[in-house]
Amino acid sequence: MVTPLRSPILTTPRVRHRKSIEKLRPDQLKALRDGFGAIKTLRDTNGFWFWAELHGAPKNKCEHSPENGYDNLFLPWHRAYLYRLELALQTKVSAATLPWWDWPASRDSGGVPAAYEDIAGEVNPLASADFPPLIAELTAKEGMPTSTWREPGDARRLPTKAEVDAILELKDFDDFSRTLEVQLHNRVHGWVRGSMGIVAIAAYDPLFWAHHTMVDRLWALWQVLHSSRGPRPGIWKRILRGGLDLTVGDVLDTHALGYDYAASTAHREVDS
Amino acid sequence: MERYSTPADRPLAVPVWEGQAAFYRADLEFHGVGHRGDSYEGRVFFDAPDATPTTPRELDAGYAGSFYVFGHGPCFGDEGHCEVPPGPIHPFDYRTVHHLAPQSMVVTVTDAVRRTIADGKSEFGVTVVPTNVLDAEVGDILHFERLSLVTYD
Repeated sequence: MVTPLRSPILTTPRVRHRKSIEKLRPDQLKALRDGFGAIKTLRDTNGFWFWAELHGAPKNKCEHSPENGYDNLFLPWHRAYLYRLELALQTKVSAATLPWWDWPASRDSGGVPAAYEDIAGEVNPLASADFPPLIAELTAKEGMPTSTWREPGDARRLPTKAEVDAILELKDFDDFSRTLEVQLHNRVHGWVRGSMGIVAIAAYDPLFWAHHTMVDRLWALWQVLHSSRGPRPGIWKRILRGGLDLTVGDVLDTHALGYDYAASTAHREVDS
Repeated sequence: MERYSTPADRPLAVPVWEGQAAFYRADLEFHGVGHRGDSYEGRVFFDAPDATPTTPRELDAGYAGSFYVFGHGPCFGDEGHCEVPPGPIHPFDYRTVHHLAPQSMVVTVTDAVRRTIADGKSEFGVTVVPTNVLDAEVGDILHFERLSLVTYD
């Protein structure tokens, strides 16, 4: 029997779907946990610390509200950042995808998603992470823990669906980006408190990545709602700093990065 | 600063044209906002200089909106690491902006400004109460350089 050749080029590339953390199947949650567990042990460019240290201390490469509100790279930079961390996860566990934290849904379910809480008698790689030695030395000097911690507020203070929907209605991209960042993104960081409330060490908390995946999802929804990429073409060639190796133009379309967002998905292979 | 209130002798003028609200949107812009230290919510009140974190967040109580600052936390570097340089050290310094370069925050206050007009006021004062998620006022964390009321028609 001759086995037909299957070239990767002839195989339809599939985009992956990032889903709500509340709606992951057990096998999908396991893949996520296994992925985070695996990259936490790495000390190379696929390692969790390698990526976490890029956002805040010690490298401080994240992009947030600029003074003039113009050429705001908050959304493109963090999209590229999520993409690179997700690739690191998939290098170790191919089925792993980043889930999004549905803030409004969490108002009724206790706040921090259960998947990111401690599990009695088990190690949950999503519950916390140690800081690398350099950062742990500095947090200890400040009287802080040497691994991530959270001190969340009342869950009813998380953003409502109406607040999220109102921001999605904003027509101007810079207005949308700035409002999303200051009114929702910053607010949720401050709501979680602990290391998530501190720019310098927030990205070491695994919850950071679900929080920012929600932010990225809202940009993707805005793009669909307004039939617009967002950033003005004049900045599409801007390189996103910190060694992300992508330009603004590279991250305008999630499909070009191999993912999309879905509340849930169902697939059936078809024999032809 | 602990909190901010516009000086009593320098209130903001209510933007009206022939007695009507000549705008569809009003933004209060805070420029030069510092973000070292803890994260906090800046609660903005109109004509409520005695507002506290327990003041209801309702128009009737003067509440106009909030901005949220994602604080950098303490300095995680060597001496001088968190001091913002005044600019490039020479013309060939192509480094991107310092991580603690000031930011700007915008609060859309359309409803609150319309309320001042409906109340027949020609000017109003702004108070900002820095608050944490536990509804406690936080001290010496609010820093900004300029406040602007911008309307769009």
